[in-house]
Amino acid sequence: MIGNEQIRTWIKALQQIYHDQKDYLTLLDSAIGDADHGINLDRGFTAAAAELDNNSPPDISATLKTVAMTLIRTVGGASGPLYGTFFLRASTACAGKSELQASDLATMFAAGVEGIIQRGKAQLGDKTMVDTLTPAVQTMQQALQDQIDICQMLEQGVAAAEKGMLATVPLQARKGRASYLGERSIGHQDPGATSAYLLVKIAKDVWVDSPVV
Amino acid sequence: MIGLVIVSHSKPLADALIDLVRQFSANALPIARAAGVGLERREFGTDAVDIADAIQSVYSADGIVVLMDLGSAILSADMALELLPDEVRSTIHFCAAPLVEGTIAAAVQIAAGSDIETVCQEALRALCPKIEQLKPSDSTDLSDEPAETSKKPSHDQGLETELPQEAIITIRNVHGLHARPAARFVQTAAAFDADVQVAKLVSGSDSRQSIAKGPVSGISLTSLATLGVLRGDRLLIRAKGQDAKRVLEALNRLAEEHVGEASPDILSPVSSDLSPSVTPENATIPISEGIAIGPVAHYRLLRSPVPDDLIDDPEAEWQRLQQAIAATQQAIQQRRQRLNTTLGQEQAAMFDAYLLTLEDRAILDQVREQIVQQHVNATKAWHETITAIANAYAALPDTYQQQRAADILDVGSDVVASLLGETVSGILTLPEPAILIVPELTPTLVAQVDPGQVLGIVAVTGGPTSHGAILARNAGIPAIVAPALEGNTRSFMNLSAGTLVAFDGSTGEFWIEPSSQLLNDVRKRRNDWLAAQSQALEVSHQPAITRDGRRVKIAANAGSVFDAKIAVQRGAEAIGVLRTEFLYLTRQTSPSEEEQMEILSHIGENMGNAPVYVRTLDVGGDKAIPYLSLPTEANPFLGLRSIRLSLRQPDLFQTQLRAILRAGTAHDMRIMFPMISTLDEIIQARQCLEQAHQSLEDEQIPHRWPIPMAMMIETPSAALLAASFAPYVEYFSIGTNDLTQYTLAAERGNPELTGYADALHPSVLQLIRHVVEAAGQHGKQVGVCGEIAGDPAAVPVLVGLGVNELSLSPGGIPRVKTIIRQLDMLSALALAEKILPTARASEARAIAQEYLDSL
Repeated sequence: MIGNEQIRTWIKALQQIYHDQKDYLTLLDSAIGDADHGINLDRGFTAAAAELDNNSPPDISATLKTVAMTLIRTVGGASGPLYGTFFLRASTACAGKSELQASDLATMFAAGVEGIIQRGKAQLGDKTMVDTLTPAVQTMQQALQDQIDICQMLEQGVAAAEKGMLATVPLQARKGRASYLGERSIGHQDPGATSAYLLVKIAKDVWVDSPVV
Repeated sequence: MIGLVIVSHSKPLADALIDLVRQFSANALPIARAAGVGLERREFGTDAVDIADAIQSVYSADGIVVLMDLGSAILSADMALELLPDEVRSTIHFCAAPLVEGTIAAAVQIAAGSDIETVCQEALRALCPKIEQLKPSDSTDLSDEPAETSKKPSHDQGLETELPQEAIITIRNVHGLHARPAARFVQTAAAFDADVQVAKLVSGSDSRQSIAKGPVSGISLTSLATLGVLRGDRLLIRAKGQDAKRVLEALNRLAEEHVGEASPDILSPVSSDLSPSVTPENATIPISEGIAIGPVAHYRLLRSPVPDDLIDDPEAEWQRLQQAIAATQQAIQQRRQRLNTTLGQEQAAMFDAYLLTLEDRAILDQVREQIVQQHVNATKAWHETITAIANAYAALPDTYQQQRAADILDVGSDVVASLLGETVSGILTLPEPAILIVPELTPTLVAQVDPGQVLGIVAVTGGPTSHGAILARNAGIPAIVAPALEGNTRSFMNLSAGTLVAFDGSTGEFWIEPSSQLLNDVRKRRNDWLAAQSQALEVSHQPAITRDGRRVKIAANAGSVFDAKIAVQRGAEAIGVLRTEFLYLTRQTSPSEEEQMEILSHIGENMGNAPVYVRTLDVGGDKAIPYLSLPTEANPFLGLRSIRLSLRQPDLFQTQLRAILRAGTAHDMRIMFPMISTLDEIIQARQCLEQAHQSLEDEQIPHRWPIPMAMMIETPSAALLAASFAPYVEYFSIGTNDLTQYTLAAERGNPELTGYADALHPSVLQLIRHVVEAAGQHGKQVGVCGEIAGDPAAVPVLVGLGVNELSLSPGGIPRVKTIIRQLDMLSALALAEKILPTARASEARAIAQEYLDSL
């Protein structure tokens, strides 16, 4: 079962991983973007984690909203409003819930990803975070229908996310700064797809692999 | 006052921009910025919360225009909407204009007190002058030959075009060249291929030397603004380049029309014998010829305002929109069908774009987002999206694109009406014949009216080149545009239904409640006009015979029953080409044999004993005919089209051939095969025809047999092999539009290649000569049915080349007949001999024009 504490753990772990992977994400972004993705996410999640420490929002929805607002204010690049929208929609989806079941979790991710798609207007195959998140959400929803438990659902979601992330390598970017490169964007893994993969993977890591769940 | 918010990645950039704006507008503008992130906003980035705060800080009920730089600025601005209270959100207009240019243009407009739509529109337009200015000045220099052909008749100005041409115009607008007229001026100047410089002259001086201010570029709104042109000021305009003369004429006309603004205190010329009753309102625009007299009926959109409320169930709301769109589609189909049979396929085709608009993913996605994400009601979401897109089109420099704006609003308003619970009707009915008063002359409106019921149309807005105006002229409905003027209590919109009015669609004059004396005068004028019309028509029914006795048959190109009717009225001796595509387009299944036969017979009836050359289906991958499952082709004009398609779809082909043969029992129907390029095609086509005959024979169905068979010459191959084709056909019809396109390898719809589209190109003329000679050796006749058949300068050339028949749009028949009657064959032959050795269309056209002028 996932409660407010587990959500906080997820955000803190995300802060840690984006901090650790700052240079890697920035390296990916320097190939096809403006080399700020890692820096921006590190700044945003560091601020978000700090905000959670300072404020201790009372429930899941409030925690996610705090993260959303902090990311919006501090990330600066396009990933600010995109991940900000993800957490804002996730917050709405979790409103009034003190614990999240497998179905709630799938709904939360689906709402967040839907928000990203609406905000960025990217479609599958545009070489963006959508390429990671859409298959992840679809897989989780399928797993839910197959009545698979929360751990397997997350594991399968992460596997789909990873596949989606790697599949961005041969694509030509059609959204964001990378699209300016046209064909030259082919052959590079998309940094947004990579950070999105981490978003899902860390959720699985902290909720499935750690003893908390 | 409208507030302005600048969203940028960089705080220094935004601050500098605000400083720049203050230079342009003296007023204290409510302006705020949201730029940069992090400590003291020193880092590049954008922050949605900051943007929401900035919007709040300059918010007033007048609304907010937000301009942004790029990338995350757009996403963050979009996100900020979610953070704002509803009443603020609904007043926000995101403007896609380039940041610096757009902000300045918007600020100028806000300071000038424009409404928010105009502000956004002007901002979007701000890039146009720059694009124009940085455009290579003479891009045609890149290649030798096309550079010549691309210059149309104006070539003989030669060196003259190198020197600037000049004109002096006087600005009579009450407020001078303020923002809106200045934009009109800039738009007009930018529409031509010419460098336009404008200087303000010292008032009271006649000398061209006494320049008070300038010169500045005539296509820069901001530069023009610096001249500070007031009412009565005279402007010296210098233009250089290909269109120098034309741009000066256009600007002169614009000035005479008060730069698009109605000037209540300027009286238009009043004719001596027939003074219109209310002169100050006479700033009208003649739209469609004809004199209308009758009672007024209003076509008012008594539309409830677009609701503002948010909705709870987005999916239900989305469904509601889908239903409204479906209802609109149905109404458009109805109108299209009707136009197709009355005005023909080409006119009806403009509604295809309407249908496409309703299916446009980009539009639907935007609307859906507003409904689903922001819970905006469908009416408002649709209305705002359509308006924004129309504004974006209106801001484009291309007049065709601008016309799209009016069309999008036209189609969009039907959906709004449906959402508001109003009936979207396909056809408009009036209790008695009347003069219809409408807010705007839209294609939808013209398509809805019955020319028998509507004596004339008076529109409050619109121009002579709008699609609605073109349709009105084609339908023969007299029309004028009479703007509703400020403080005008007697504008047409306010007339009570049934008030007797009259107007003249060729001059724009009108009379409200004319006295009986005046009414008699107007009636007399109307009768004179009708008499002159019928006299011109009468002459056009005489055959076209040159002065030395050679007869040239004049036929009409037709694509509908209506065309056939007009063709007879205008004196066509045959239908030279009946385009049968109208039978196939805009439907879900192919037309049955009976259906086709019936329509063909109907056309035959209209034509009496005159022959009708029925051209078999001539379409390809460039046309959407769902039931034909046409492949998408890389080069549709070089692909599986026309006869090639017919030969591969035997069922479709047989149905059409049988219908033509059957219609031929009562009328002189003949068969014409299009786009033949190889001998085998004509042999196969003939076999198909024989097969159709055989099957009808077997079924003992009466039909015409034998039937005269003709072929189109549209490919260089067919032209060069005409002697080999001649034994198989009775008649060759040279389709010069396609023949030119295939000879010069230049797609005729490509706007970049219009310079290649002149069929007076010597290569095409040599092919025509070749066909005439080959046909003559076999005793066969040759006609020309492309656009040049109706081109006054080309007519003597074609006659001189030995062409026996010209087939053209019905409207041009009287003129072409008149030209032929002025010709003598000796000089026409000499003209052809003089033109054939030229190497450029421009040379050929110059010689042809010179000859025409000498007639």
